[in-house]
Amino acid sequence: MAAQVKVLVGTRKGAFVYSSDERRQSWQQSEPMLEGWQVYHMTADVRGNRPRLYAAANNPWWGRSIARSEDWGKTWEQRTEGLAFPADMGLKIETAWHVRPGHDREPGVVYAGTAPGGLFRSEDWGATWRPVDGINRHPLRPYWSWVPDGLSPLHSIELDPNDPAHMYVAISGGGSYETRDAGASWQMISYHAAKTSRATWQHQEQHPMVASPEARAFVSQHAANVPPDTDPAAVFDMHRMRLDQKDPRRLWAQAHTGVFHSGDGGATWREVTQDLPSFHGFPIAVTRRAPDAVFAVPLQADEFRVCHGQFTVYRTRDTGETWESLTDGLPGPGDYQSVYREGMDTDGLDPEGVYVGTSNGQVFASADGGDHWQRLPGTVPPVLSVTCAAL
Amino acid sequence: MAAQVKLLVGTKKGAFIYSSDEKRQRWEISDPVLPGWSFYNMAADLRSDPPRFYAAANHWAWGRSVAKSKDLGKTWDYRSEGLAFPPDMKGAPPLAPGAPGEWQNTPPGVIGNIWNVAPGHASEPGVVFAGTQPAGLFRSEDWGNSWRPVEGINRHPDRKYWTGTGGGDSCIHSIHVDPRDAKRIYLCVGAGGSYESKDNGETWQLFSQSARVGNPQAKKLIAEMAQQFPDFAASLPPGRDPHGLDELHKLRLDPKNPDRMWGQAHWGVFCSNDSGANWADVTEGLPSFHGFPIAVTQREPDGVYVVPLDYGQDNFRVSLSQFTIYRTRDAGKTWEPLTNGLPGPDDYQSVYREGLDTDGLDPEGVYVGTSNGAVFASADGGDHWQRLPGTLPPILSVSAAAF
Repeated sequence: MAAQVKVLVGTRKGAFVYSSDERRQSWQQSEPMLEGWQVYHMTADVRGNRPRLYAAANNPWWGRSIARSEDWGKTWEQRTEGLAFPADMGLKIETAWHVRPGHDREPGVVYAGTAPGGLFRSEDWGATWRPVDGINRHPLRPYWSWVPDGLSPLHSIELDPNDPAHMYVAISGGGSYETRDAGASWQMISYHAAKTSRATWQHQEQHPMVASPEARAFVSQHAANVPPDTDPAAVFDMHRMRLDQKDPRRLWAQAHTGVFHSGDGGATWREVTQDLPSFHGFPIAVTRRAPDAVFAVPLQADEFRVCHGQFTVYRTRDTGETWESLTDGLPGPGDYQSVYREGMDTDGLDPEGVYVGTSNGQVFASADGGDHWQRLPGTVPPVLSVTCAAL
Repeated sequence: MAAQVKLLVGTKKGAFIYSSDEKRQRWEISDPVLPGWSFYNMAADLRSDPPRFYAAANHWAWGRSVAKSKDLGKTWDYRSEGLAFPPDMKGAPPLAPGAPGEWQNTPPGVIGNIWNVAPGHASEPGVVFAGTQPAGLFRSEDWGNSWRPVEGINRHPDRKYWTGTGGGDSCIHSIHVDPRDAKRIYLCVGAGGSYESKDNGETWQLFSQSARVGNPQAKKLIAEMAQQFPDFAASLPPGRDPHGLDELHKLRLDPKNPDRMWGQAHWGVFCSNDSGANWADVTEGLPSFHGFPIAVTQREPDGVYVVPLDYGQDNFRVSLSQFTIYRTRDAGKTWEPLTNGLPGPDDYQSVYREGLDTDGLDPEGVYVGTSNGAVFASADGGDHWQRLPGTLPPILSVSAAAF
């Protein structure tokens, strides 16, 4: 049983750490850290002799960095040597988007995802970085299309707990990819998700709001920008992909057009949206220990993108066959918040804790797998990411 | 005494209307209006019965409009004929690569967003003004159905010096008509200066240059910036004082005393008692010079409200830990913090430039909507606050109407 539970909250204007013990009933908010920096993602690395914090921290004036702290955020090192595309690629990193400690058997290895889509690897706990050319120079890169909230960010980096050479990444507007040779070569795995989401995609195209010339141009630009013989939906948009740590053959994705599940490492996918109020959303979270449960936050519709009236997290315990709505302790009616793609996480404790942070700066925690929720103290700037660490 | 009080709340993803009676204790929230549209500003036009509502409603894909409602917000018409720059006018020249706001350059001649909508003078029913980004002023004479550009300001010789703001191209906000004189109009160009017309919009004169930053905190930062960007002075029009104020975040005309004007600027809070000829920096007594909105009571006693935001070098820009509104009742000599009913500690919200308003009732109601979607209301001039029901998308504007 863990002695300490930390919830790392990255916001549009800095970061905060909430602390509690293993009962997770009483929570303390830290002072703001990295004030003014857009913290897209934060993680704790517990592989070393002391815990380290990593933060994908961006600032319109000072640039982008993978910030590191060895004292729970009191002081930060922000020099990030080598976090850049090779000059011949002609690309500049706009945003450090995601940061992920590497495999347990490879202490010191850390991965970072960027926008424009890029994967970078460090072997010295984040001090120096090298591009992973196998994905950054992928032949499908020309088809990674522009999306409104960035430049096709590489937002999900998932590691097979049984095999350090086996990884997945997902690129918004660029598809999802798998490597089995430690990043040397990558194969797209989202083709099959495309087939099942095609109906939803066509439904969207017929939406009356899409009648304006500007919207038509936007949609046709997307539809045209796909590789030959590929369904447009294949590259369109996974918002967040997660590998089930309990069973690494299982992948989950909340896409622009639905929630998808694969039981075979991405070879085939099934859309499991039928029982949800909306196909659209951003985050998805999976319990780290049995019993299995998967959590999603469906948003009203593509053009409104909020939880409509009652803030609700949905949970499935049967691989997406049925979903139940969780609202006990969550706000409503009159509530119109949303959650960004990194805004939900689980803690791996027993019973499993679930945490969600909203675009409105509220953080909710459940210490019983989602049955009951409490709001953590304070209102912080819009929450971009929520990550848990149980120590 | 008013029978109805409406609070028009514009958010990044739709608008909401709160309703109460003159006691302003119990509030009901409407369903979302035009979900998914960004409402930069809303206004109630009390010159018609029932009042008309206007909304500066923008959508990243569907376009931009001044939406209008004749039935207190139940139905909206968002056709806005003529709300465009003339074909020969390409708007502001695109900002140079790397300039602030450059990444949000709008294509030449296209209106990016409607920022402000303001009913005209009481003696001219049907006249409505709209301010746009890139900076443009438009005038309607038929309650907002059709629009014409106000060429005197849109083709002003200073235009080439209007630079982008943090939110993109330059914009026009804070449009005020002098209640004593329909021909006298004031407006602000974001990062371009504030202008006055005495001839119904034919000609415009800059009036904010005489405001000079006096508070030590901002003076220090300005001096540091001057060292860091030595070319800044050269980018100004000839004869322009580099220390004069070119950016008010929000300008308010005091309707009780129309010679008096208030401005919350990037660098401080300013007050003028002679219609903008002379300005005083009245920031002393506030915890920060920086902020966006400013609001003024519409009736006696006088009260002016601001929401100071932290402004460290890393641009945190939030109300630090305890959400606090500051009030002055002596024209800026002293400021008192108002916190009774406002959240804290552990609270880090901010307020955008249209996020604060008064209702003109007795005692005066004050309303504030935050970047985190919370609305707070005071029915006693700011002494006590209550949180209104609901959590909305980030709030861009709050406008109160009592009728």
